[in-house]
Parts: sequence; C-alpha cells; structure tokens
Amino acid sequence: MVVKKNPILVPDHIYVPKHEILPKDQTQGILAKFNCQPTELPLILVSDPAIIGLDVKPGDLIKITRKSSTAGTSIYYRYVVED
Amino acid sequence: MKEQFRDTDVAKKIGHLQFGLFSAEQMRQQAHIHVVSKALYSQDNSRKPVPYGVLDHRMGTSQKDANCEMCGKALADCIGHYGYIDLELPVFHVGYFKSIIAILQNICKTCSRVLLRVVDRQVFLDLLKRPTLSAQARKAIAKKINEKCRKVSSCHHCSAPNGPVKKCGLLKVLHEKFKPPTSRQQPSNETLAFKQSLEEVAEQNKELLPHIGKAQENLNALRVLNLFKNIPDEDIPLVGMSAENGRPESLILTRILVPPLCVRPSVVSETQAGTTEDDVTMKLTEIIFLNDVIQKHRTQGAKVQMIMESWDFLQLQCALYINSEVSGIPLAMAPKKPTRGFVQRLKGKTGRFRGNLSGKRVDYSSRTVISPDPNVQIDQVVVPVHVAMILSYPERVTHANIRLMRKLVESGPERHPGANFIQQRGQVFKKFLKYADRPKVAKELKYGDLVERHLIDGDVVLFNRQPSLHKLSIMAHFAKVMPNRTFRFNECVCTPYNADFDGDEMNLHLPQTEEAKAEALTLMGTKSNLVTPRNGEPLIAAIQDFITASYLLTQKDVFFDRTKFCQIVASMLHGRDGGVKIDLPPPAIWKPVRLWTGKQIIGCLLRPNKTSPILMNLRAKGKQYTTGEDLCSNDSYVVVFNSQLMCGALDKSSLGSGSKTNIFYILLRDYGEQTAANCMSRLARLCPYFLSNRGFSIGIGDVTPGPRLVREKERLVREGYEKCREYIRSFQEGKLQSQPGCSVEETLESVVLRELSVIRESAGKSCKKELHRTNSPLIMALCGSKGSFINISQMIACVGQQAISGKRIPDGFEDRALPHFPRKSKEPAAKGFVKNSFYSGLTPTEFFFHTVGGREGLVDTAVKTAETGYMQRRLVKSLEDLCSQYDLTVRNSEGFIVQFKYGGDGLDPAAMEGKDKPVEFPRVLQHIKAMYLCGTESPLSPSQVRFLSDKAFQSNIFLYCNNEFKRGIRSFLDKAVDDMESFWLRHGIPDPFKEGAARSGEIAELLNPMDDAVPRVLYQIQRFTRTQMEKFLTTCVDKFMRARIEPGTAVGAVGAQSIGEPGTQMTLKTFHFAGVASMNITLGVPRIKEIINASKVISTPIITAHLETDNDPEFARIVKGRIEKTLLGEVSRYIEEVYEPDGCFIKIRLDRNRVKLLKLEVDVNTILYSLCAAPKLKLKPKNISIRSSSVLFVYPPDNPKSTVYYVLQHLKCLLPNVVVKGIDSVSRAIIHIDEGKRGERYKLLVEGMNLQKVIATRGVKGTATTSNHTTEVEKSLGIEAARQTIINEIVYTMVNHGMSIDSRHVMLLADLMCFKGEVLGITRFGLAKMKESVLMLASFEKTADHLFDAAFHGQRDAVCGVSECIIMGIPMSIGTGMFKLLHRHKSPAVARQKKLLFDNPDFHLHEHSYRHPLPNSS
Repeated sequence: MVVKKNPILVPDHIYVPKHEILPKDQTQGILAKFNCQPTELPLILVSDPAIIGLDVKPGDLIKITRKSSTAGTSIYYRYVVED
Repeated sequence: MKEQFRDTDVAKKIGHLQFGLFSAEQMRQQAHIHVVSKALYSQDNSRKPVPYGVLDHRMGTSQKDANCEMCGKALADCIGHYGYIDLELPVFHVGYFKSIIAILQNICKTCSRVLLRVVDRQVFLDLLKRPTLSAQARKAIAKKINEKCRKVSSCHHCSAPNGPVKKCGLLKVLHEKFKPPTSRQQPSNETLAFKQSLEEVAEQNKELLPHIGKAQENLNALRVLNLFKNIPDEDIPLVGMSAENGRPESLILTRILVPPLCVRPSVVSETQAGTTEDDVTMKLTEIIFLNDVIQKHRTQGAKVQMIMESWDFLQLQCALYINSEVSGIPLAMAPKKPTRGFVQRLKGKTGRFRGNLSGKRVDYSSRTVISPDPNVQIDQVVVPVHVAMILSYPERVTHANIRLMRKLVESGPERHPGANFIQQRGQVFKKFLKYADRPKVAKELKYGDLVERHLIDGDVVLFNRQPSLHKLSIMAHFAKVMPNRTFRFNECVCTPYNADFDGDEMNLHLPQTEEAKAEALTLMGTKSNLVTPRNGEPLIAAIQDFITASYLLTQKDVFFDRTKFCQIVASMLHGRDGGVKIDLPPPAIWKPVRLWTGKQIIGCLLRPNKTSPILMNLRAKGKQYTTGEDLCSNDSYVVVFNSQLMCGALDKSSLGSGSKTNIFYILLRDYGEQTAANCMSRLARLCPYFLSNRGFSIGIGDVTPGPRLVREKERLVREGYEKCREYIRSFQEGKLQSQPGCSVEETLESVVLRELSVIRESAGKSCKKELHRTNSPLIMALCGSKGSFINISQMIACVGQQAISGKRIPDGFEDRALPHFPRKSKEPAAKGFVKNSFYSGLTPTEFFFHTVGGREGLVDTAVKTAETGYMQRRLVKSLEDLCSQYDLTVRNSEGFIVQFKYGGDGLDPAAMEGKDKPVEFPRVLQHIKAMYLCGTESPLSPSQVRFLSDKAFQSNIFLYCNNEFKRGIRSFLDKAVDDMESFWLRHGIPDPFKEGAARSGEIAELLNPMDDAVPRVLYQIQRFTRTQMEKFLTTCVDKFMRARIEPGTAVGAVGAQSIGEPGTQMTLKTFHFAGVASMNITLGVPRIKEIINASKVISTPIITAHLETDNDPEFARIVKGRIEKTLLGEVSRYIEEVYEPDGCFIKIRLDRNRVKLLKLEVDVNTILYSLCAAPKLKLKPKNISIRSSSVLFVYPPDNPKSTVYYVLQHLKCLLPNVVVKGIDSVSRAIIHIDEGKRGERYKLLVEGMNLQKVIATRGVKGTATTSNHTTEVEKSLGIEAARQTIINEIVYTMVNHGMSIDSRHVMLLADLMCFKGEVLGITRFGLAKMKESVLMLASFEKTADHLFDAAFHGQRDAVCGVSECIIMGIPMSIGTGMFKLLHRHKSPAVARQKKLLFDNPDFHLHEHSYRHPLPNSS
C-alpha cells in the first residue's frame, strides 16, 4: 500500500510566519528599493510547504512577516523559484 | 617605502579571472623551446645543462651565478620561460578524466554528435544562451543533459549503437557498446560483426573463447581525441564547455608544457657532487624518456603489445606529473617514493592557496615572550629596545619633524631612538646609516626625504596572539620602548587575547603607512574594543588581583588616616594621569581621628576632582547579594551615585569582564572609551600598590580544616555512604523503584550519583560556614577573582566523585574498577568517590581515580581544539563576505541579499546595553535623575508625566527609531508613571491635574503640582522633573542612534567569530537531560556541528509535541500510544505455530490486559490491517482470520519457491516485529510534566523522526509541535520554520553552556543557511551552492577539483569576495574598502590601439599562408 506523501498545511504553526504573495504592482517598488534583480533576493522553492496553499508560481515575490526577538516584527522577501 | 594601496596608481586592474584550457597550439605559442633531450647535464664534466633538455637555461635560471639565456636577466629578475614536450601518443589528463567520461557519455561514439533529439537540443541550447546564467545553473543544465544522453542507446544522428561509458581501471575508458543478446532482442549487426572478428582470433587461441562474450570497446586516448575533434562547435555548450575557452580536444594531452626553471629549482649541493632536482624535473625527464622509447618502437616496428605497454606507462607518468596521488595504480607500476605533483603543490594547509596566497609571511613583525605590567596603560604595549631597533617606520621628512629626524639620523642604527636607512628624495637606492657619514647626512636632510627610523614611543603597533579566534585577538596598541626582552602589557587586556604568562609568545607588527596607522587605531585600538561584538559585554576589564584588591579595599571595615589615604590615592597617578589634581574628599569619620574609607578611594578613582565632568551612576547586585537592595547583609549591592561609591563591595560583577553592570562599562557607555580606559589604568596601578602593602597570600593554614569541620565532614560522608548502601541494598533485593524510562541499574546510578554530589555540596557549604572571613581562598571565591567554592571544598573537605562522561568510573578489571575492591561492588569508594581532600591526601585508589578523571579532561581539550578550529574555519569561510550595506541590507560579495535589515533592526550587537536591546531604560533614568538634580524645578505629577510623554511621542524626536524601541520606551514610561501614581495615591498626595480639566491646557505641564498640605519630603521620593524627562528621552534616542550598525561592517565575519569562538570554550561531550533522566540530548560542540552542517542524520532527534488537552495525564498516555512504535510481539501473549491435519497456521493471542493498561488503540481488526500493510510479509486479508477479540490465525500464503513449513517459520520470525501502532521511525515517546502555576501541564517528547506524522496524529496540537531536526522541519514546515529552528537550537545549546551570544549573529547565520530556499550546511557542499567564486572554493577545500572543474567549464571569477581579493592582492569591498569615489576624468587616458603589422594586406602572400602542421593525430 503506497501512502501518497503530501506536505501537510500548517499555516498557523508557531514557527511558520505569515507568508503572502506580494501584489504584482508592488514588486517593482521592492526591487527598486533594494536596487537588485529578483534573483538576488533570498529564494524560496515553489514546493515549500509554507506556501502550497497560496497558489504560487515561480517568479512571484513572497512577503514574509516574521516575529523577531530584536525588532518585534520584521519583513522579509523571498523570490519563488522552481526546485 | 610601503605605499598605501591606491586604485588610481596602477595602470591596469584585474577585472576578472577567466579559467580555460590550453590547447596544444597555445602551448607552443607560450613556450620558447621544444624540449627533447632526456639528459639533464652534459656528460663532459662541464656541469652545463644539455641544450633542449629540461634544465636548458633558456627556460630561465635557478642559480645565482647563471643568467637566463633567453632574456639575459639574473635570478631575481627573470620571470622564466616555458618549454614544451610533444608526446608521441596522446594521453588523458588526470584532472579532466571525469569530465572526459562525462563528455563521452554525452556524445555518439561514432559521429561525435550530442545524443539529444533535435527538439531537446534546441531547448537546452536556448537555456544555455541566457547571459545571466550562473555557473551553478550551467552545471546543473549540463548534468541534466548528461542524464538524458546516458539513456540513449542509439544515436539520433547516425543511428549507431551507444552504450554506457565507464571508467575501467586506471585512466582507461570502456564503452559497453555491445550488449549481450537478451531473449527479447536480437543482437545488432555491429555486435555480430564485432563477434565475428573476434572469432577469427579465437581460432588461433582457444583460451580466448570464453571471454569473447565480455569483449567491449576500449576508448583509448587517441580515439577519444579524434572523437572530440569531430564535435561541432555548436554542440560544445551542450557538453558543458565553452568554445572560446577551450575545445574538448584540449582535455587530452598531446603536448605538455615544461615550466620555467625557477618553478622547479635544482639545488646545487656544496658538500657532495651533483645536484638535487625537483620532482617535476625528474618526472619530465621520465616522460621524455618514455617518449623516446615509443618513438623507437614505432620506427623499429616493435610489437603492438610493447607499444601499448609503454603508452600505458607514459599515461601514468603524465598523470603523476599533474597529480602524484592518483589512486588505483597497479602495484607493479606504482612509484617507489612519493613525489609532489602540481596538485600537491596547490592543495592543503601549506599548499600554494592556503599557505602562500591567502596568508603570507610578512616583514616588520616580531615575536617574543609576554609578561604582565600593571604600570602601563590599557592601550600600551612595552616593546623591548632590541625589537624597536629592528622594526622601522619610513617617515617622510617635513618641516614639522625635521629636527627629530636629524637627531634620529645622527644617532644611527645602533642607538635606540635612531634610524636604519635613509632614502633621499628622488633617489631609488637606500643609504644604510651604519656606514654613512651620519652628521653630514643629517645636516643635508631635506623635506621629502624618507627616513627609516626605529620604532619609538607612541607608534601604533598591532599586537596579536594565536589562535586568532575573534577580531579582538589582534588589536592596536601604542608602543612604549623599554629595556629587557619581553613584550609587556596591562593584565586587563589578557582576556581578549586569552593570554597568560606561563610562557606565551605574541606577535607584534608595525604598520608602515599613516593611513594604516590611522585605520588601525580607530578600528582595532584596544580602547575601541573594550566590548566584544559577541554580546556587547566588556572584555577588557579588571581581573584576578585587581578584583581581589578592590574587594578588600571596599570592605566596610577599611579605614585610612590622611597619610595612608593620600598615599594610596597618589599611587594611581601615572603616565597620562600624572598631573591630575585630586580633591581630597571630606573624611567619613571626623572624631576621634579623621578617617577615610576604602570606598572613598574608588570615588577618587572615578572622579579625581570637582572639575571632572564624570558623574557615574550605578545600582547593581553583587555576587553575594541577599535581599533588601542597599540593606543587603553581605554589603553586596553596589550603589554608585554621581561617582561616589555609596555602598557595596566591588567584586567580579562590578569590575570583571562579562558583565554589563561593570563600572568601566558604564563609564564607556556614558563618557566614552578614553575615560573608561583611564579609570581602568588607575585601578591597575592602585590595586597592586594596595595589595602589596596590605599583603595577600595563601598558605597551608588556609586550607587546614578545623576540628569542627573535620567532624562535620566525617558525619556527612558517613551519612551519605549509609544512604548509598541503602539504595544498593534495595537494588540487590530488587526493591528499587525504577525511574520512568530508565532501567533499574540506571536508576541506581542516578540516585547514588545524586547522593554523592550532595555530600560534596554540603561539605562545600560547611566549609564556607566554618572558614574565617580573612581566609584567602575564600576571599578569592567570594569576590570572583579566582577559584570557586568547589575548589575550596576540594582542597579542604572532600574531592568528591570522579566521573568519566558523566558516569562513575567504569570497570577496567573484571566486574570492578580496581582489584582492590570486591567484584560487582557498587560502593561509592569502589566507583571513584574520593572522600579525602587534597589537604588530607588521597589514598592510592583515590589517586588513581583522580588521574582517570583528569585524563578525560586532557583528551577532551586535545580533541576539542582540532574540532572547533575546523568549525571556525568553515564558519568564517562561508560568512566572510557578508557586509552591511548603505541601504541597511546585508549582502554577500556577489550582491545577493541575505537580510533586508541586519538582525531585523539594523543595530550593532556591540552597542547593546541591555540584553539584545540598545538601551537599558531603568539605568538611564537613574543616571539622568542623579545627574540633573534640578533642585529649583517642581516635581511633575503622574498625569503631567503622562501628558509630557504623550506629547513627546507625537513629536518627531523618535523619527529614526524603530517601533520596537518606541514600544519599549513607552511601556517603560507607562510603568514608571503607574508606580508613581500608586505611590501618590498610597500617601494621599493629590494630583491636581488628574482629571481632564488641566489636560486640555498646555499650561498644565508648567504648573507646580505641589500642595502645601502634603509633607514636602513625599515629593522627593520618585521625583521626576520636566528637564529630567527631556534629558531622559533625548539620551535614550541618542543611544539608539549610536547603536545603529555602520554601513560596511563585516557583520558576517564578526558573526562567524562570535559563534565559533565560544565553541572553543565548550566542553566537547556533554549531555543534558531533557526533563526526564532517561532522555538526553547531545549538546556542546557536536550539537553545534550538527546544526551548522545541516546534517540529515542527527544523534538525538527529538520532537516536542504539545497536546490538545494538556492537563490530562490519561489523554497524554493515549496520544503517546498513538505515536510510540508498538510491535505485535509486544502486545501479544504468544505467537505460536499450529499444525492440524487439514492445514497449519500461526496463532496469535493478544494480551488484552496489556493493551488496556498501555491505553493502546489496538484490536484484532487494526492488527489485521497492519499485517496486510506490512511490506515483507505479503499477506492478503484472506490469509488472516479473526477468531475472537483476541485471537488471530495467520495462514501461510502460497509460495511456489518454498515449502509451507519454511514459509510458516519465516512468518513466525517476522510477525513479532510487525508495527501495529505508532510511527515506524519513533523509538519511544515520553510524557513530560511541566509544573507551572496553573497546575501540571503535559507534553510529549518523541525520540525519533517524522515530524509530519507526529503533527498529523490525533490529539497532538500540530501548530505548536516542533522538532530539533532542521532538515526535517524544512521538509514538513518550510524554509522559514527551518530558519527558526536553527536559531532556536543554536541559542538553546549556547545558553546551556552559559554562553551568551547576541541573537543577531545567530539570525545572520540562519539566514545565510536558508537564503537559497533550501537549508545549506556550512560544509564544502553547501558552500559550493552559496558561492560562485572558483578561487574562494579552491582556497577552502578540494582545491584541485574546483580548479579543473572551472577550467573545463570555462568559468570566470569576478574577484569580488574577500578570499579572492586577498589572493589577488586587491582591496576588498568591505568596510573602508566598500565605497568608491566617482570621478570624471577630463580626457579618457586610453592609448589608441596600434594596427598589427601583419594585418596589412601588403605584407600578405598570395593565397598562400603558412600553416603549422597540427599535432600528430595518427
């Protein structure tokens, strides 16, 4: 018997911060702000369990709102790539 | 003179490095002569190298007396010239052998086309054409192509058969073209033809016959060369190469370069005749010799076999020439003695990359033994005159220093403040002053001359002690030249260097330019590095005697009369402080005699006179603090009010390193580094003076126990032993209750160990009680200067239990540790308990046990240094190029963003005054209140404070502060106001502005809230005025602004050091019990290693599962049953085979009682299901029948290969091990009880893997369930959760060892490991995915592999990272090298390119151009 292994969705897990797709109209602003190519941003795999429910395609930008011990909350961006 | 590096000074700049292959033709162009002669020297005794031999002087020179015959220059000037050797037959290049096989797998072995369909081909070609493609992506595509091609069995282009290509023996390639005929497939025509050709041979030699089936095609170098030559240019990208940087045929050697002589110098021996030649030279002669042999064979028509043999040998020699550590050489051919090939020259710690390019030996350096000197300042180092006269600094003569320079020149090189050389302006050569007419030279000294003067007082020098584990291991001091032969410095600076004076040596470097001096002073100066960037704690602080002395000085009973007081105070005046005016404070006691206290001396030290602006404030608990703040019965609550020590004895927590309540730290933060350093220097002068007058020593009397203590100890030991015996007795009788998750033996061990450690502890306590307060070891332990209570108790009372890896001494003999004890004895004494003290003396057995314990410590440290050293190297290599940028992001040298704001808030860990926080508000408030007394102002009422703070938050003073900081200051103020309000309420002080009436008016804040009816003294408590409020807010904001990280900081390197350096202080093997005694977690260096390596297998994976109902033990047990792996054998009463006339089966009877007790959710139906699901059994539901609620019959399934009996036996064997409940990979789960305020809370600690399944288990609160296994968390929760796990685990491990590290460092490491979307370990594999640079990877590990790989792919190195820049000698783009100045030149100074002479058509011949014959390919 083969059990198909699907990653479980744990969006509200204490270790998983909020992931959301950045609207397309804001991506350019972010890239301009940091003056970089999208591939120079930190990456996230499209198969990452934290974003499977979000209908993400490679090329999207994910905005992550982390809880931070130093800054309260901090914003992090990741660029979606194929694995 | 060493010139400061200036970009503009150099005519050309290295933009990038291009790796590639050298074709045979390029080699010929590079070379100057064709080397053909195998002899080295001519035989006519003239000692001349043979012309056209490998030592021909036309390739440069290696001797001082012979010049190069090509350029005519001498040894030092000739750069050397290449030669070349033409090989008779082509051979494989060892470095590229793997790549050659990969190419052969990609191409058709008949027509040389890539084995891809036209469609795929185009797709891949398009992919590869993208200009932004990184080298890694390119390699990944090449790998994909290779995978595709390997599956192809017949060429799409010429339909020739292609099989797998394999390495076969040493540097031989096998092409399995001819598949053995299978039942389905007819052998192809080629195969048949090949067979036919062999059969002919077999007729002659019958022995060959059985081997014909195995015959395959051998691709020798010649064939491969021809195949490669035929690869069309457009296919070259598909095999992973680039046409412009070397075609595939260059991978095969047809010609080899002979390096210049200076690369392989021949050493002429003076004692005996002849020379010693380099390995490379010898290998080259061998190659030429073999070449000659093959040529001879070919011309004479020798047997093919002989040629092949020589060819193989030539192949081997060419391989050894490049890499002498080729594996798999047949024994007969293996070289007798190991040689050094080119690869060996490059790789390893002492190889070219790590030994000569990344780190170099330097001039202007010195090394000698160190010794302490409390009389020098913190920022000084005493340099012996002898050293000072050798180290020189090139100083330019200016009008400001010409008189000094004259004097120096005149005194010459042999008197100390002198000079060694002089270089007159405009002249190239230096004049040695020893033999010059010095008075004349001095007189003629002009501006612009360069004097290489001796090192003198006040020069900036770099001082360093190895191992340089963090940036504080090399700091800049001011030199102080003095007689004698050691480097001396203030003991306070021992901590950052980790130096002691038991014979340590240190290095000293003298920077050679003004820029270097200035930069060293501001960035590396001792004063700028009083705090460690690891966590912002002070590292340079008082140690040992300084602490003892201060402690003794500040005792309550220390009084001095005027003479004594003045004497002590005067002792601290020295050096820079020499002329400081001291105001004698009013005496503490006036009558009968005027007496001053020791605490007043500290006051003088902090603030010598009334004009000094230093007002320091501190309230902190000391080491022995009890209760009641300043009423502490041990006088261990330090209160410093405006630089007056009001109460408290100073000890380690207020003077020593590693504490933020250090008085020097407070001075540093509030009044700057110079003040702190001055104060520390004063203390360092004062303490030895005081101590040497008072006297402080230790003798045998200090460790002699009194009769009462002896009796007390005897009693303790006796009672402890009795208890242990009781435990042992109950163990032997089998009555000992085992602890959860432990066996009875383990339980006994743990209770006995606990009992024994109680003995020592209570012995220590009674020591502390019994010893007189003047006892020296006790004083040292109390004030924290050296030693602990354990040490005292070991000396006086009882040494205690000796342990090996946390257990009692194991058995070294049969059933016992030593033959002095009865077998299997569990007695304390038999297992390593030492009841004697060092004073009373150890018995022989005790002594042995003690050495056993001691050896473990020694082994541990020896192993640890190697382990942590490597860890540190890896950390630094991977983090070295991370740097905070001007837009506050952290990026690596290639521009990839790792963090968007350093540490989330962009603050510098070194500037944190609180724990990971930039400002410690209560302290600042105290300080402000004390500093600005504002006696004329009226106190604010609580509502006024609230109003003012509201107003401040609406204004823009917090404009550049982040929200977390604002929230912090807000909540602090709110709390202060609440306290104040409740105080006012308690004492009935009316707050006139409380109600909204006054709130509206601006005037309210200016009004005086004081009521005449209230006693005025009440207003003095918790008094807070308007000015104080303003000052407080601005000070906080100011501190925050100063805490921001400077752009250009090498945050990566600092972080790597901050994590690596504490690693060296950790004990190697420590386990820690996670709540339950039986479940231990790996900690210490091994755990840190696991985390940063991102290991797939870790030694103790533990999942912490929170429960949906966490206050019910029953529920916890049920969930535990669901998770823990339960085998069929564990729940069945018996499993037996039953034979009956009509069949046989296995009967399983469940132990229902047990199932019920364990709360397992198992019954016959679930067992049937799990039996059918079990992989190896192959049982079908029809094979199993359920007979009752506890009985199952399993019938053996039909098996054609075996008899029923064996199947049954097999089943019987396997059935008990079938998992009937729980998760396979979980070995056990333990219920953990947290005793909190709200009663007992239960959670599960699951030992094992598979987080995903645990989360999905019913009853488990999935959202709060975590694992300590990083890669598993990544797999089931994603990269962000993995990052959080890395942070938590590192912090947890560090905290467990009592190390504090600023969380920003850990965050940076975690972000680096996760920024590529997957968790990358800090290993060579992870590093290769993080970095592009070839040089960087080559200087790390696997040097040769990376270089060959880069050449094969035609990679390009942009030379932007730290390692690459060091190797190339270019300033790196970090810190002060980060920014460039943009400057527009008026005219671009680019030389016009001249036309090449032969491009002119006039010089061309008609239709006839000379062509060089290609290398022999037949």
